[in-house]
Amino acid sequence: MRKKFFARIVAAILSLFVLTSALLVAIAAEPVLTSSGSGEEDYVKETLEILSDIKWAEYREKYASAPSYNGKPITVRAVDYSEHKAGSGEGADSKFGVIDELDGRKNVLMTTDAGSVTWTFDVPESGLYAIEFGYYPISERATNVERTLRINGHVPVNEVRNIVFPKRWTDNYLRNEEGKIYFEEDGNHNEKRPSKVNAPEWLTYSVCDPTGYYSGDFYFYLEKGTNTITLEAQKEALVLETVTLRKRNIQKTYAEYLEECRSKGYTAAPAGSKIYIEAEHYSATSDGTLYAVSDSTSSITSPQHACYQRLNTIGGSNWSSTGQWYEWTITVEEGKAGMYTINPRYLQNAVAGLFVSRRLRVDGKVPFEEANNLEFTYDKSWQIGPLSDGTTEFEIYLSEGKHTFSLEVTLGHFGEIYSEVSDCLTKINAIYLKILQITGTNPDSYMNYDFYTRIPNEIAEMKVLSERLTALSEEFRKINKNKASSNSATLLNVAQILAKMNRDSEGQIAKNFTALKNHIGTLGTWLNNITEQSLTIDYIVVQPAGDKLPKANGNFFQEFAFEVKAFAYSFVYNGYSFASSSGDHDVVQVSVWTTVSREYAQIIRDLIDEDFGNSYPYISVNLKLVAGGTLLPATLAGVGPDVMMGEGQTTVIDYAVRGALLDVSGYDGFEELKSRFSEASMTPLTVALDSTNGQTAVYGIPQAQSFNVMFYRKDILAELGISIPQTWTEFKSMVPKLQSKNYMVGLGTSGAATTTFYMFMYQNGGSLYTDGGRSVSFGEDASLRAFDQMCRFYTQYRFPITYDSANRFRTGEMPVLIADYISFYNQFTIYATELKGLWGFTLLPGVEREDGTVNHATPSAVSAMVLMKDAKERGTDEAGFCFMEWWMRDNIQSRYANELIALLGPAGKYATANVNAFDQMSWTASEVKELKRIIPNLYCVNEMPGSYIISRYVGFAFLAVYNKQADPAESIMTYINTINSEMDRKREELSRQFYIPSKSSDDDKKDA
Amino acid sequence: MSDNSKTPVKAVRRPVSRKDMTKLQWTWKEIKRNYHAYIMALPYFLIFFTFTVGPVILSIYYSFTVFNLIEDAKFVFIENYLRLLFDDDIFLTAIQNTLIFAVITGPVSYLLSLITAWFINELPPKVRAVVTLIFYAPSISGGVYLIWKVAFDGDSYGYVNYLLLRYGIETSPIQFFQNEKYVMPLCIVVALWTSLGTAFLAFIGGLQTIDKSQYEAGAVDGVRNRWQEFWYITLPNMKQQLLFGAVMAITQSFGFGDIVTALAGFPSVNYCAWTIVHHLQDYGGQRYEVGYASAIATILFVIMIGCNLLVNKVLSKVGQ
Repeated sequence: MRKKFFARIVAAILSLFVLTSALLVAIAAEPVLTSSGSGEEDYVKETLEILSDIKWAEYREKYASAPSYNGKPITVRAVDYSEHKAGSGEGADSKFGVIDELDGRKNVLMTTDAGSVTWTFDVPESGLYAIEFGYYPISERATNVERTLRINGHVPVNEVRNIVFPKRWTDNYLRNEEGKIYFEEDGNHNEKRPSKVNAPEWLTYSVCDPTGYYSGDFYFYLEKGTNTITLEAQKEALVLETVTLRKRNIQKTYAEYLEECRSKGYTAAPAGSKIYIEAEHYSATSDGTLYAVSDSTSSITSPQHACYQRLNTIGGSNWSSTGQWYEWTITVEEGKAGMYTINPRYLQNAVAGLFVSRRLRVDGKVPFEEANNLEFTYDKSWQIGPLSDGTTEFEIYLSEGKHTFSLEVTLGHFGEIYSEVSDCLTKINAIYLKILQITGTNPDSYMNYDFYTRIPNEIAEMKVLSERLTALSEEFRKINKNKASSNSATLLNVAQILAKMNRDSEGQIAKNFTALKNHIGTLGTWLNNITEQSLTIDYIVVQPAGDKLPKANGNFFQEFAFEVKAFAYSFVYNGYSFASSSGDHDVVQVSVWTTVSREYAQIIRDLIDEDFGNSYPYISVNLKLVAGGTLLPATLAGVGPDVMMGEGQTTVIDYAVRGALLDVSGYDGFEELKSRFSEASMTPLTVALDSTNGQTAVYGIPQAQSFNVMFYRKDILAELGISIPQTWTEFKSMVPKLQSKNYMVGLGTSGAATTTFYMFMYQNGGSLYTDGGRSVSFGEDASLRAFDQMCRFYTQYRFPITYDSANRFRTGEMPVLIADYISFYNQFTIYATELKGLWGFTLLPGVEREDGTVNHATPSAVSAMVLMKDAKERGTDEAGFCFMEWWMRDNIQSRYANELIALLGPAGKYATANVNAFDQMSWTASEVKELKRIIPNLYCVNEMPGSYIISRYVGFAFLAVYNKQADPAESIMTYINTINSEMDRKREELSRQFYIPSKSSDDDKKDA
Repeated sequence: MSDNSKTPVKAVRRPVSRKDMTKLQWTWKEIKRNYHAYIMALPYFLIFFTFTVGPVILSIYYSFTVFNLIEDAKFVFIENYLRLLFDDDIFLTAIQNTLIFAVITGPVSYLLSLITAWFINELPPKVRAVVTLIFYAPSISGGVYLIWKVAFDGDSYGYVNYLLLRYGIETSPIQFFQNEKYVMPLCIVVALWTSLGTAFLAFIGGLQTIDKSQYEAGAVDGVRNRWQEFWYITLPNMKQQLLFGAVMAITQSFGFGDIVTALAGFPSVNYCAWTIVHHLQDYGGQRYEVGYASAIATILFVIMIGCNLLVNKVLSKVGQ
């Protein structure tokens, strides 16, 4: 006991010493920091600017009494811009400049996905103006066109930092002789989605809220005289024709609309004039990601099949983000003009206890105010009924001839509440971080932190926020027709905890700190969930009010028969083989196995059907979905595939060294194929067959590549005035600054110790193997230094080795974090939508070389496609290689990636190994720029027989240092012999011998 | 076959003379006479042979080869065994850990099952059903032991660590499942917790089938206390269940590998909770050395059979 006490005192003194010395280092390193690049300061400036933005609600309040402009629209042609700043991004396939003619309009302006354009206006009178753009969404990609709007150089409200110009997409429907739409079937009789094309036309866009919290156009206060409007590119190219300042539109109410119709003498349409349209036969959509989907829950969904997939509905979870719309075209026959109701058969079983909202546009215009907030109430089963706002069922006048109408996702009446809650959440989070800086993550409830003098403003704000949240929950209940739900309770819980903290700060803040953190998480998740407005529509019936509607649900016998049939089919239907639709026997059959999920496999199948035949008409691909781990027994039994997709690099070498794979380097076009990947990604798949003459073999084609990047919270770093560290020296000087404010850094968990170690090792100029791959280099200076460097972060700076990265990054506890770029990016994008724009990723810090440059070597891992040995015997190996070549093409990879985004939403980003495909994927220009900076620094370790043992022992050595305070160098060196003898043993066992190619990047870096 | 033939003989008990034929002829005759019994046993026997006996024999064969599942097997005689027993330090660790596991969790969970079953048996029927469910629940709900991982998470927000930090007992989170000091004891506790399984149910069943009149007879014959009653009446009556329970307990205690993997990872830090099963998985799965893995499996097989024989011996002493 006494010994332990003594040890603690010593530890305390030591840690104090370390801390002070670290601070000294920090102070000493200060000048280095400030001199590091102006790009860094830009980001601090920008972040601070974002943080100081006001919200639309405040802006509206501020100019509530300002007069509205009431004159004629003031239009400037886009080509008459006053200033253009070229950005540093690459406009994928477009160049900034004037286009003489585009789709019927002359003299228009092409803008790229980087840089900014400014127009100057002479404003006749001070007042409130709406801003409108005439544009043409030219880009083919599935991503949104995003711009930042600036007025006189400033972003007027936070919301317009990312305004979204809607695109227009249509499907390439097939039509039969009668002109009716039908869907093609695949080899399994499942209907296939038609391909989607960007169908741009000239559109107008009035600046409004891209988040959908506020319905209606935004308006801005402009002083009389010269004003400028700037569009700063964020994503995608865009063609502009005009920029217009106009008066605010005041919408009529439904009562006024009816009155107007009555005065014009419109009456109800003649009874029996019914127009029926399948929802999946829409004429256009806002996103490439809005598709026809398949519903098999109801027997009367039309059309329906008990076994095969029918594309019979639209929407579902795909159609849930604000701004997404579907548009339908209908024709009113002669003599049947009049007042109609629009009756969709819909399913809203996603948002329990609440309604979801849609906005109706008829012929491109919202007919009346209430059409902005159509309500679809919750029910477990299907419903059918006229569009309504919850109280009134609307009738709309349709004249003879063609009409379009569209339904767009909005947040309806809840929008403003959500916006305010989101605002509160940001403020609560800021308060949380302030408290965190004082108390650390585990406050002592008996300690006197002196909150009253240290954070008086925050304490006062707690009261304000608490009252605001209470009021919001009340309002929420009122809109939801006084139905009590857990939703308003979530708000009240947070309000109560804040009230408690405000009343007795000294006693309650520390006590409830963790609860507050949990509530912030809950509130964020709540906000995410509730803004999901998913709705499924089967068909739409347009008919006069009062006519009888079809039934919404099948009766008992229909449903029963349907289920029985589906059950019976399940015995004969094989859904796991994605047979090709061509059954031709002259072609070469290639069997390809994949272990991805069903939806992914479907996308692969669709792409094969659509594109593969164009390049290789004589090859037919048989894609099969298999469970992981099937390959080994199948190979043993000789019934394996020709091509296996997505095998990890370790498995590839394990198979190759035992003779199960074919060397792909000898096939035609390999050299060209190789150039599509980063050099690093070929490393683990390439081996030398001989230790002397350097004959190499390549056992696979890289498919996906993952690597670590440094994620950082812009807001927190900017507030502390920390610039992003470029080297470990800078990193070390940043750590005390963060830790003194109770922030933590996530360098990697203990599970990733090997990766972290490799990072330091390569950055120090070391390499993993010596002696051509026969033994490890852990005895060498660079490796020892690297291991020591890594362990120091955990032992001296006490970096945690177990943590939930997404959670801690969200609360801000861990504002700097090293993690896998794709999985963390995907997870965090949907996990913390409230932090959009406040975080980013960049290159890992590096080690300075003697010549002053920095070595940023970034460890990465690949998964690969391999060609099985059996293919050679079957004579399908060349065809297999053709498939691999085709699959890794730039356009196929980017299409696959974009289809995944379409399917999974923003969390569907895919880590393709094809470095050219990044351009065409849905990364922002600045993200692509970062990725391109990182790729040359990538680094893969070679896999050698027996190398599995290395990471195991590195992990042991690391934990020995962490747990038992062992000496780093000593503890890693104890394992050298064990590792080497295992690798020797493995070499003895195997008949084939693999070595590290002498000209591999492993050695290159070593020389550098 | 000759073993099988004895059963029908006993079952039929018909006085047939077999003096004038050899044993083989006699067996064949008996088989022909009772052919329906064999036909009925056939489906099970086929499945049992193909999926249990066959692989065991195959695995014994492969234990004398070098085999990596992709290339053909190479016969190396007893090289695998020599290496395993004399040149594999980690295997020794594995044996040591397995024995610790088996010695602690096997008997303890066995006794625990028996005693708990005995106590529960005294409860009124309805309460008994509920309490049985409560004790049995951890072993039926498969991965429930993972709550231990959550509770003892190495994150500073893991339940135990949070409390330790909050009350100032520790200053930084303890890595329970990544520190050699804690891994083994924790795994044993979790193993015990989940071990009240099938054996426990069998015991309860066994306790309930005992004829009550035997206790009355015992009382008349001078049983002095509950302990004597338990030893001389209850246990001898439950011999079959005891044997079953023991076999289950032993098999289980050798097979805790999955729980350890789920809690402490694969491999556990510095092989501190490495068992024979892990060794087997390591060589069979990760290193593609199926021959060597088969040798491990064979040794595990032998150890288990040995244990079962031992248990049989011990149980025959019950009630004496």
